[in-house]
Amino acid sequence: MCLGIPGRIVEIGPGSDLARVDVAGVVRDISLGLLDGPWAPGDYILIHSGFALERMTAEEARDALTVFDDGDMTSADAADVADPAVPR
Amino acid sequence: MTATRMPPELAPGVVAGPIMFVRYAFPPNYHGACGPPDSQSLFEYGAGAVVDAGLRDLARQFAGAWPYLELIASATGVADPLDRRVVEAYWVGNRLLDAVGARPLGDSMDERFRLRTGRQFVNLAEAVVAGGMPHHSYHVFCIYPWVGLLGDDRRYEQALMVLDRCRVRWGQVRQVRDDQLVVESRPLLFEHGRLLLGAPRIETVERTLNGVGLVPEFAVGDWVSMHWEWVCDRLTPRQLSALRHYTRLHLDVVNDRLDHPGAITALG
Repeated sequence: MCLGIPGRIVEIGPGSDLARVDVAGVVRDISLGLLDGPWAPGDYILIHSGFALERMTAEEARDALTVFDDGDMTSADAADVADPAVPR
Repeated sequence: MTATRMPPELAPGVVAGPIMFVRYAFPPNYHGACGPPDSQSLFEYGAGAVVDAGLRDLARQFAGAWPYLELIASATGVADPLDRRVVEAYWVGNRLLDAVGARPLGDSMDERFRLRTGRQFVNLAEAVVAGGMPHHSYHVFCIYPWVGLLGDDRRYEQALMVLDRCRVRWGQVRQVRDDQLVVESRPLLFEHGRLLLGAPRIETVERTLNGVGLVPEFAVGDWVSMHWEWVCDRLTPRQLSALRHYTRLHLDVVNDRLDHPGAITALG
């Protein structure tokens, strides 16, 4: 994945910048720290390298996923978004 | 010293292309940033230096890197995208890149990204016209959205961190520990609107996972490549020169040759 992929928040703790996000069927930890909240399960975001970069509407997310579906979207694309952000 | 298991090499410093691929692709895969979900399988292939259809299937699941390997191979007449020369060209750099040509790279960008980026595609294509080559540093500096976020005070710090760790960087070993190397390297900086390499500083990188490493022994003074917080490989003088050259090329592209650097921040 190179330009970002839509995801849907499925779980987020109160006041947390980390959310569990469904990305094409794979649930990943994604940082929301670069955007303003509030956030709720069901919100859509555009993700890259483990960070949410933009908030999306459901329609925008659906349109974007349609593009992927027309292309070469695979489970590996979904895996390409998860968090590398915090070095050990 | 604790016992550390290391994989065999075909000759000192020489491994098969698929194993070289693992050495560079494992770090982002370990974080879940690239490739198939199961990073342990990839690691075991690298640690055991085993090459089979299963490893090739894992490599094909790197949606970022694999199309570049296919492009380099097809444009240069190499049959196998995991040929060592091709893998080296993408991650480190070598003369195969100079033989690819702008049109095949442009066609590849068009096929992969035009539909996804819509009207923004013209901005992405600028980097091809400006001399971009299918090297990992091109992907990081010219395709990733993070360059476009460097001017945003809130996102600057994370953007620079992602860019610095996602590029393959080089450094010289100053200390060898059981599971880590202490390395002197030059960090990526963003000053006065330009990406550049700063003064050398010391960093510590990982070399084993649970006592198992992907690369045989290191020595103080070795030049090494690094990806995220992991060491990838020892570098020969030729490889070091190539990695520096192609990294600087794409820093020049993004600093001086683009009207809209980092313009792609979202799907079209």
